[in-house]
Amino acid sequence: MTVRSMTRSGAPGVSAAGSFWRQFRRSRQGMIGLAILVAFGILALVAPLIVDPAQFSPVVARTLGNPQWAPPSEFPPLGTDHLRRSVWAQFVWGSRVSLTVGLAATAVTMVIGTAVGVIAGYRGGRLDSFLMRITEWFLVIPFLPLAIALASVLGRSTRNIILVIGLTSWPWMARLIRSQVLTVKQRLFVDRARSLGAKSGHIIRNHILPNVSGLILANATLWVPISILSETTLSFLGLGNPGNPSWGKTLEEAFANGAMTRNAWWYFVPAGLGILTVVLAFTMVGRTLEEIADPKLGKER
Amino acid sequence: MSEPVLVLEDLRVTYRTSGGAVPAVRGVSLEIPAGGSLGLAGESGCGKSTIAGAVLRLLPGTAEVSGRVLLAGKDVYELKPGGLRAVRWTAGAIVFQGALHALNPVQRIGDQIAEPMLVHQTVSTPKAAKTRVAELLESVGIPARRAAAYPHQLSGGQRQRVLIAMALACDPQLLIADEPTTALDVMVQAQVLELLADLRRQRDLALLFITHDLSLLTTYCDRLAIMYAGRIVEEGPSGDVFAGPSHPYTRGLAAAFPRIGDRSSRMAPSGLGGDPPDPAALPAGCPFHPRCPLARPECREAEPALRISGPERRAACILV
Amino acid sequence: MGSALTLLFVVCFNFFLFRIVPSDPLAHMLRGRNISREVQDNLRAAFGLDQPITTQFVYYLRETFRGNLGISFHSRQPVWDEIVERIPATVELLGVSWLFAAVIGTAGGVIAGWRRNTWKDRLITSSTMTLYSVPDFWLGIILLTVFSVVLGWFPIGGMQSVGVRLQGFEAFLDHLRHLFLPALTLSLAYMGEYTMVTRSSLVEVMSEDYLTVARAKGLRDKVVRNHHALPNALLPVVTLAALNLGFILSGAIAVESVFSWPGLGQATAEAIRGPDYPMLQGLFLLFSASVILFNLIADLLYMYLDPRVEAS
Repeated sequence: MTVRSMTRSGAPGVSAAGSFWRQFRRSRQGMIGLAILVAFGILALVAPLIVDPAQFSPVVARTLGNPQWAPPSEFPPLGTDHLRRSVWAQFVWGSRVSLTVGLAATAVTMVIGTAVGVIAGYRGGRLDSFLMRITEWFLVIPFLPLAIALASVLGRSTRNIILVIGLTSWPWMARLIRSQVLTVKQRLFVDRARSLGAKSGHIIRNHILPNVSGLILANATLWVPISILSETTLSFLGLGNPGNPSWGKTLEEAFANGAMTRNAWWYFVPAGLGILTVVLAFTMVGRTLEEIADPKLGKER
Repeated sequence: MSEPVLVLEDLRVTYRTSGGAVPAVRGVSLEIPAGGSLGLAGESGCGKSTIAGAVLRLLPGTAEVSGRVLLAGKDVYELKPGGLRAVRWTAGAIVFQGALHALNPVQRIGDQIAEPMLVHQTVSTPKAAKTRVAELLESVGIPARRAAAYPHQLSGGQRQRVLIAMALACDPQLLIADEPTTALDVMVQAQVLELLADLRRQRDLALLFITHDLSLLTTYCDRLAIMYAGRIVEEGPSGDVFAGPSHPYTRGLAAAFPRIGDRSSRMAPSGLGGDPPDPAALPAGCPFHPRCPLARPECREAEPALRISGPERRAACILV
Repeated sequence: MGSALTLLFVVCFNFFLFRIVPSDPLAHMLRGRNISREVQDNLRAAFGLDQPITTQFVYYLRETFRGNLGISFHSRQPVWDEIVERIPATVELLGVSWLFAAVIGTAGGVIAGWRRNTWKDRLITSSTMTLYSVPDFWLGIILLTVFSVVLGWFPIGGMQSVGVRLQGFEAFLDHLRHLFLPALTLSLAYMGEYTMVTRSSLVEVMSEDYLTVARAKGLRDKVVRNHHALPNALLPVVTLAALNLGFILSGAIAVESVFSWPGLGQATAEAIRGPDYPMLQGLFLLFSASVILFNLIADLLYMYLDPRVEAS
């Protein structure tokens, strides 16, 4: 058997993806979550068609002649805020920012975490101990304080928020991926490939990564809600970008401007529900993916 | 002869799974007289361990049980929860396979042995329980002071002895030993079995000994029952059955006579080709026919019932 | 030993973290103030900012280990004094929440895990998942709006009523009324973790043979659960609770702001606004140190609770 043909049989190919989808379709939880995500994904994509972000400038909002603090009954569908801006517009735009940050931050986490985890797990030895030492150090540093410190040093921008979340949450991923890589490495075919003279890069690409990809995908999906919640908290603490309002930023402005004491619920309820729904949906999809990637879990849940 | 301590009448156990109903035990009837011993043998998956659980009604909720189980004259499946608890461990106790997790890892072994005595009030005070634990431990060859040890501080053989001591705590009439020595090495295995035999003689215990190791049963049991695919296929006095099997399956098992110490031969008797059938998809007719060297066309048609094959012997094969 | 090394790592990391972006901290501090060049240079010298970075680092290490965390840009007070003043409020709020979250969350997990796939389990699991998906401060905002603004049952914020002088028991009651909503918010936010960990740990333990043995002995279901299942299943939960004590200082950064609770969380939020770098640096160090300390305690506790783990 040649290395190439082993690759074919060892790696999940097109048919594997098909069976993955068949299994996924059977899960009610997963399909509901996916439907919600598709809906919000579409909303986020078409947001620029519905909303012109220029209207978030207080000056522009004033020239539009909107009322201030208008409840939804007066200014459908979701009323206005202290600066006469439409809450609906902020909600739509916020879905775009929150989803972008959540996905991009998770991507950063995955790239760093997978790189460290695969290298540590595959190479082993001293490099592994060194990388895992560093990982453990970062693991004990409490996430939110670190993110806050980093974000306040880097300055307020959407890009920085993405970087901060990615840079602070990779250690979990690295540790998880490493243990998976170790398991895969134990299996015969890697040794065989190596004994047949395959290069490390080739083995990692063709043998290790395809076998941990299901798990990476499941964990990435489960990491997006954590990223979204982190973004929300950082934005609420004033570390977000005011010109590109996310749901968290909306909540911060609502809170800072006394929407609670005015009982202007329309200002802070939609953004919170948006976060709740999207986070829940990602969790549902992620757990379904995890159950398919690791069938042992399904029985326990 | 006195009243039998255990009677199974047409016991059937079916597991409900997502893939449909899986029959594990398909109509087993047997009897163990007071002080008697029966060895139940068969390959893994034949349903023998399910029987052990069924006697004390310990099977999971997914198991559907029909037929009757009479333990010390009481119909176990007719008992109310309180009555069931009263029968457990006093009428019949189980010696579990101790290698894995039969002992609670965070409780001292003395407390675990004393627990059933206190629950069933076979001793009146915790102090009396302590004395009794010491006696029991000594009787299985463990120094009484080890009562304060945690399971992980004992060797595999010692843990198995603890499980025997625990099973004896309430002086049961019947001991069910479910593969009690599988995970032990040969020397320890022999010691544990000798201990079990001694205790049985001293206390006039009835024994249901379940194992896949046919050779053990012939030494330690009066009678033998061989199970295949959820049914008893042969039954009789152990010496006779072993010396002259009536059923081809028993012949296969006996031919594979596993020599002590040879693990692989115990795991997969070499006298038999092929694998045990999947209980969810049993072959039509006699379930053994695909592996049977003597199979005939009519074996595919109907499953043979047990019939007399000699003095006190029965077998389920059309060739008998 | 490992913990000491980790702590040293955090102390060093803290120094460089706040210097990854080249900036002049003094410019922040003096923003908007008309101060002569000379005074600025003097200040720079006083803070050691005219020294090369290695000298600064040595100076930082020495002072940190002496307990000197620098001067707050905002209040001009020593950071350490500012922090110490705020600790009791935070410890009180999070201590109460920690306790309720651990007790109620664990109880929920036990109920859900022991009777898996019943309606109780589904209810508990789905509400836990929902609570998990809500930002804690938003939950606080909702509770505050409903119970304080609309219903008027609880005060809007702070630790005690201002403008009235209350004594003895009345003052205590008043304080409890202020504590209630933030503590409820944090309890709800932290409960889910305990429920999920307890449930999955119990589910794992339930397949163990010693539970079958316990049942075979004729024990009642409740005894099987309380004497055999839980002592094993709760081991990871106890560790989790100990670990979470490490977050007793940093666990309510956003929620404290919502309820104007004058603790370390609010101090953090204020320091972000500055940004008050020395303050942020001090808080970060303290938060990390507390997590490291309780990591160590959790390890020791596990060793004590689980007889299988021998002290090495």
